[in-house]
Amino acid sequence: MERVNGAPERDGSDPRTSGPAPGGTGQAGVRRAGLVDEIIVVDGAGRTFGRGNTAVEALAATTLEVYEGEFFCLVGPSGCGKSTLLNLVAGFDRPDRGRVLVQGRPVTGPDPRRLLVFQDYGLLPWRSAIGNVELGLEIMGIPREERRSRARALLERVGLSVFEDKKPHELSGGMRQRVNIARSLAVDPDILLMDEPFGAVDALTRMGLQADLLELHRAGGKTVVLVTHDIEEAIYLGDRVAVMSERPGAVRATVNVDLTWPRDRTSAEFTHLREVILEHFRLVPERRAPEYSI
Amino acid sequence: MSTAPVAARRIAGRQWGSWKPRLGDVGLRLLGVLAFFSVWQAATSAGLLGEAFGADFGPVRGLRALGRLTASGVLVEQSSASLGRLGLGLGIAVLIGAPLGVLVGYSRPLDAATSVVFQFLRMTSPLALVPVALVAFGVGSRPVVFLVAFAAVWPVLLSTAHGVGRVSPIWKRVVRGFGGGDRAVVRKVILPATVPDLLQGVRLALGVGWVVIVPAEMLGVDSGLGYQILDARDRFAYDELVATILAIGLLGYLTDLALRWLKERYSWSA
Repeated sequence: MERVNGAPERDGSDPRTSGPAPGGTGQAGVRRAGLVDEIIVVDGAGRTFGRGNTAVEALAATTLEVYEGEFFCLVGPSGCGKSTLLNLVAGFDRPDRGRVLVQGRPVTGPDPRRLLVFQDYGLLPWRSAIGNVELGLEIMGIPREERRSRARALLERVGLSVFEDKKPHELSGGMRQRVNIARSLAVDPDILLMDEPFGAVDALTRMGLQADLLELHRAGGKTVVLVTHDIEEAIYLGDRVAVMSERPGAVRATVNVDLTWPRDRTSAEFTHLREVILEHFRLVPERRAPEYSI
Repeated sequence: MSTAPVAARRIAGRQWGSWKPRLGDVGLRLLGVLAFFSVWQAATSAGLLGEAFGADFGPVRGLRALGRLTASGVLVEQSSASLGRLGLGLGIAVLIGAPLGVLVGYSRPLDAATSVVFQFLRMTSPLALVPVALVAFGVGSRPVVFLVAFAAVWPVLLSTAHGVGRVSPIWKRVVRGFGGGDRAVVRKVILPATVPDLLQGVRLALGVGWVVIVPAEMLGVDSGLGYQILDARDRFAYDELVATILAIGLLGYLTDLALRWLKERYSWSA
């Protein structure tokens, strides 16, 4: 029940499926060469809450670009300003300094073309699963018939057709997040902004949801920015992983994940990337000198 | 469902207080009613309540009079008069109380500024306002409707305010994220989220409305169930007096049942 059944077949021409890429010539490398457009530009944007002595700098001046169609992950400890950054891109908040541009234009407010997917789902408890998926379509003024059929198709895509009449409290956490994702996809956004989307589900459900999200991303060609404190999740999903420092948050480094799909969490390359990122958090124990090792 | 533990069924909202009793409870409910009438009848026919309260005050004669009044059309006429005033009073209470409740629920300063006054007014018996109502609205249905509305507006207001407090800010953000404005937030989130509490308020308002309307109809009107009680007393038709009391109780029960059903239909759990 936890798997996507109706996911479209993989596109064989996807560069990420065309075998291991030598360093620097993977898709991310092509992007760095300027062949792919930047869809999100964060240009020295920072945010401070409060004033005077009680002011808290949640996000130090941050600069990053996200390319069209890429899966971009932000990792960092709790309270590092990841959510603040995501809110700036979603348009729920404005930066104090610097700029946030999406598709070349400054962000002035929320827009259904770049949707924030909330961690705690934000499902309306009085609506059924399908009613929740229809919410955005209703607001956009889509006629009833079309709404229904689009919502049905999306519930099918996330494997919840059987549960379309269930209320959120009758669904498990994982199912609720699927409904939430289906609701977001229903309005066909260009960008999905996901704030710890799998933070509230158990580990196995989480892995299932991650795999499904990847399938949806690969089938849909949408840009995804996912915030997480789970390094493994970031490496498993991301084309690139930005590492954020602690308060005040700022992007410390961006790591390219030139791994093929499906990614093997136990492979040497995966483990290596994990260490690379952990080192940024200074969480790797100092290695012993070579002469002591066998 | 039938094998689910009692606690689980209680969560499902189909247990105690539901408009729809479980099958096993129906018999017990009927038994309770029967026992009540038996004790009442025994007390009156045995003269336990004193000589003044004879068999005319018992349920048997009361029910017989109820049948008579129904057949003659008097009961329907007087009930409709009362129900009309009650409905109008409750309608006014909702029109005033619900929007005010939304405002109070939203604005902390407004809540603070009004809470003492509202609690004070809520505790003021509407019947204390009878002279005021008569001066302001003259004689007839209007002061009665005013008194019902005055009594009913507070539970509606306070309950709605409580319902607004249950609205999660995330739901509003979700609607705004989809490009919705204030109108969409009200229609998609605030209204559906607060309707169950509003209906709960109306239920409480209905209770006080019934309490208020009967004495209010004893003042300067010549129709309604309250009037009929006085009229029966004046004619020494005590069986009709009992019949009217039974009718008021029954109508109160049925209207409450309807509201409970409505409330359950729109209620939600997070």
